[in-house]
Amino acid sequence: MSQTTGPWLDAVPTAWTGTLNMPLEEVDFSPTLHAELSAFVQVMGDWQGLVVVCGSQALARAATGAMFEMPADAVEPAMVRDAMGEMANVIGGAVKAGIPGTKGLSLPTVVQGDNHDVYVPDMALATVRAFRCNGETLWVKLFEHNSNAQRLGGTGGTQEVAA
Amino acid sequence: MRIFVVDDSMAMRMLVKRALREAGYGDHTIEEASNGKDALEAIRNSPPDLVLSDWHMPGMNGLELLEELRKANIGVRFGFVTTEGTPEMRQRVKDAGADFLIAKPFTSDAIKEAIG
Repeated sequence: MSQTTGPWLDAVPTAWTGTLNMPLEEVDFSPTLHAELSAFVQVMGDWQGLVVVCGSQALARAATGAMFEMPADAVEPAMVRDAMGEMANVIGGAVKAGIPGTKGLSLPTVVQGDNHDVYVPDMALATVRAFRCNGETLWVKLFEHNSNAQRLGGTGGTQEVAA
Repeated sequence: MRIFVVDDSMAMRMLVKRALREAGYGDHTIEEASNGKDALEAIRNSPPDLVLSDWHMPGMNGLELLEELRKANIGVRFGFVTTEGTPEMRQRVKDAGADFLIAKPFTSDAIKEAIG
C-alpha cells in the first residue's frame, strides 16, 4: 500500500493539534505499521466512507492524558476509549467537511488489542496519511464505499480497514 | 451564569469546561450531563442560562434535546459544540432555534465569541 497525498486528510493535523495541543509532523506511511488501537467513524449520506485513526497504546494514553490534564500513565482504559473515540469524531468531522455533499457521522467505535482486524464490506482505501507525535506514529485512513458516485481514489473491492 | 454542558464524551466535556475557564467563565456554575435525556430532565427542573450541547449522542441527540426544550417553551440560550460545522448544518441548527454553533476543534476564543 502506498501513501497517497490527496487533500482529503489535510484537516487531520489541525483537528488533532487543535484539540490536544500536541504537534504532528507528517511522515511516510509504512504498510508495516501495526495498530494497537483503532478508532473510527462512518461518514453517511451522499458520500459514504470510513475515517480510521490508528496508533499505539502509548500515543493513545498520551493523547488521553492531554485531554484529561493528567499524566499518561495515570489514565484509565475507559478514558482512553472515550478520548480516542472523540478524536475519531473530531477528525472525521473535519475530513467530512472537505468532501462535497450532505453527510452525517456515526457515533465512534474504538477497537483495542494486538492483531486486531476490522473489515467493512465494499469499502476501498481512498487515502492514508501518517504522522509522528510524541515519539509515536499516528496514521489516518480514509475508506470510501464502492457505490459512491464520487470516488476519491479507491480502486474498489473489500479491504481490511485496520490491523 | 449557570452553564449546562451536554456531551456523551467525558473527555470532550473536560475540553469544553477547560475552554470555558480559559474564556473567563471559570467562576460561573458549570453543570453537565452525558446524554440528552438526562440533560432534558435537569434543564426542565431548573433551566440554566446557557446550554452547550454536542450533536451526536446515543439515545437523544442534541437536536432532539433542543426541539424538546423549545416544545416545552423553555427559551434557554442553546449552542451546539459539534463536528457538524458545515453551512448546511449551521442553517439547520438556526432553523431549529439554536443560538450558535461552535465547530470542533474549537478554541477558548471561539467559545468566548459565541457566548458573547
